[in-house]
Amino acid sequence: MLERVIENWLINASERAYQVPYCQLLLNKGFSVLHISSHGPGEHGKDIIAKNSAGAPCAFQLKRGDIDTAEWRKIYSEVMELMDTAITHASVDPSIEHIPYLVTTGSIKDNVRTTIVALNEKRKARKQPELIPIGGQELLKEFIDFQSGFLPYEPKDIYDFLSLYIADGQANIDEQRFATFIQQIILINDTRSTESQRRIATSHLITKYALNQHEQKQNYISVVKGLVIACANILAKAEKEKLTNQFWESSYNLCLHEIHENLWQLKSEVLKKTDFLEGDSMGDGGTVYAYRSTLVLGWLASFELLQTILNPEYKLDNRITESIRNIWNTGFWGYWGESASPYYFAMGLFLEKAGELPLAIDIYETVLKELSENNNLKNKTNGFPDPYYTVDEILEAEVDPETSKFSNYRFAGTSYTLKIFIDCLVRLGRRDLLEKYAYNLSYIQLCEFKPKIDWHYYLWRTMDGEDIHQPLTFPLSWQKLCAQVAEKPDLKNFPKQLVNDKRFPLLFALTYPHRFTTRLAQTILNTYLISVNQ
Amino acid sequence: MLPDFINFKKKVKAQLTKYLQSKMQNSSFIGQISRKPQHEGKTLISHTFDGHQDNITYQEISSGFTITKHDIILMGIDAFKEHIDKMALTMSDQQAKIFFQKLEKVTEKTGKVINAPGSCPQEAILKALDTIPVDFDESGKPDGLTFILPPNLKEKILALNQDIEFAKKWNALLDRKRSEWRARESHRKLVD
Repeated sequence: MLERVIENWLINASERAYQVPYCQLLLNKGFSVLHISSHGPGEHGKDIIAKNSAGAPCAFQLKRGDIDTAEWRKIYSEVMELMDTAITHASVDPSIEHIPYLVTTGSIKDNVRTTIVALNEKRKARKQPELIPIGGQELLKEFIDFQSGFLPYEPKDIYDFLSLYIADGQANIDEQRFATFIQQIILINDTRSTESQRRIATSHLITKYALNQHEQKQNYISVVKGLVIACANILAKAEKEKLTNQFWESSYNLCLHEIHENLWQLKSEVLKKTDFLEGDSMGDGGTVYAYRSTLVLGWLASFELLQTILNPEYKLDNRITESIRNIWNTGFWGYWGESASPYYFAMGLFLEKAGELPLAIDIYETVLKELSENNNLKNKTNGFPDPYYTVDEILEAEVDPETSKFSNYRFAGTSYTLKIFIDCLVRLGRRDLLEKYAYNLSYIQLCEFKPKIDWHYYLWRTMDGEDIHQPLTFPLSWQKLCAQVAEKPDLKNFPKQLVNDKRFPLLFALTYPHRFTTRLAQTILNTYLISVNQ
Repeated sequence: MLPDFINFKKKVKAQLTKYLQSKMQNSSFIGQISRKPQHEGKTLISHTFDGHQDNITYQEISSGFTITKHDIILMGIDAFKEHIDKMALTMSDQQAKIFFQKLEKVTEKTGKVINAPGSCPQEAILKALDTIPVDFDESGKPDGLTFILPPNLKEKILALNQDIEFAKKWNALLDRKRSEWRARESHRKLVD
């Protein structure tokens, strides 16, 4: 049955959608992937550049659907470019002829195959490598064979998988459900590292299938969150089984590549739009609009920051600064609960890095104000929900408080993310703001959940750990706050990869807001503001 | 099998659970204490303002009942409601018991246990009040000060309103507590 799902996915997949999964197949066959083209047609007809197990350079052009004579005529010049233009890559000697591959999800019709045979005769005569055509059936077989033995087989897992496969792609991803499913698939104990490697690779593909509906709807943020969850589970498995990098890093990097691509697409879409409206207009606008613009700009701010890691020469995009300034000045932003905190942190950090310090401070202060006024014990309301509640749950509760998951709970008196924003303002020397909110802060316990086992940090939920509640000491000492900010974060029982890989922590914080702790925030700050001291 | 109405039953169960929770909340003073869930882990480590640390592990409370087929057929959901009322009482009793056990441990640990042998509780009340910090509202009245008493003491405590000597001591103590509160409030600020 799952083979039919894979077939269905492949039939509907765009070139972009199956590009990275195809790289997984190549890795499995012993290829090393050198380059994956980004954001459009491959450079010189080459969507993927790789070396095969013998070290020979190879270039792949990916297509979608059947290739008949008419289609062949359309793509002819691209195929010629694929074959005749040398690979430009630091790891490839341009004097060595590369092996060209033409891959499609549909069938390559007989007359096109005949043309390719004739073409190859000429190439053979010129001692050039032949063009290798790979059609849909062959491709499907490769995908199925690759995953054989690693696809979900328990009825419940199959049910969960199919539910995700047919989920409403327009809706936000159900992170908890998705994370639980991926965890069941990937965190199975393997006896050999090669088995683990294969399970990690196939889990990436299963993630792709499960995100199919969201991908088709171009629901970029949901796709990104799904991929971040996959990355977190790959890291969990790697740290749990103490795998060396060779067994997990390629799959992890492919996931990160896709995250980057999706955020790039999100940015392109946002920059083309004149507003943040989406879908059915009944129910949109107002609060929904404000929350959406905050979410989107939080992700785009993170994307911009990520670019600076990938390319130190990268100049932050001024259009994102202006978009944040615009929602800020017009009041179209919204703080829905503590799961919003990472988005404000990302925007603030981006603005700091972009040199927009006053706006960054405004953003940090907003969170400090919202939490200190609403979550202090003296406040008569229930306070903002803790970071375990999603924006969807909070919006639904606004419409129908009766069915709300948290209507009986009172969060006033506690906060999980407040200290992060206190630290930001201390780091920026804003003693005046701390002074302004100090009274309310004295009525709030600072909370942090600490998993007992390092790699449990990557799990959506774990029962092994302690929820620690601690008040700030009053009178609040500015000197002590400054000393705390200057201290190195305590990274005991903190997962290694969150410190080592500078690309991942911010993405992780936005997807796992309940893991957005002072330690994670400090790790992110160390990455992006290494030279900034108070 | 015969036709079942799963979705209807799920909603009924959810409703009954909510009913049980609201009954529990209304059947003892514990219902007045605000609650929030712990989503992960099995332990809560709580640090107090005065530097004490408390490691709290959770205890299960439960209750059950038997119900006859005859009652189910005859009364439907109402057959359960009747039992749920009793269940709420049992469970809130268990909750209260756990609460008092915990309170006893904490007060013992922090040296705040006052024993009151004999029948007159005035001195004990004043001593007890002396051991705890008291907050005051904007009009200067004690805020959130709650006495939990066995039923037989209620009349005696109310009668203390007429005891002029006790009232004097009580007001003097409250004045002191008000000063302490003001001192505490004055610490709720940023320094150095």
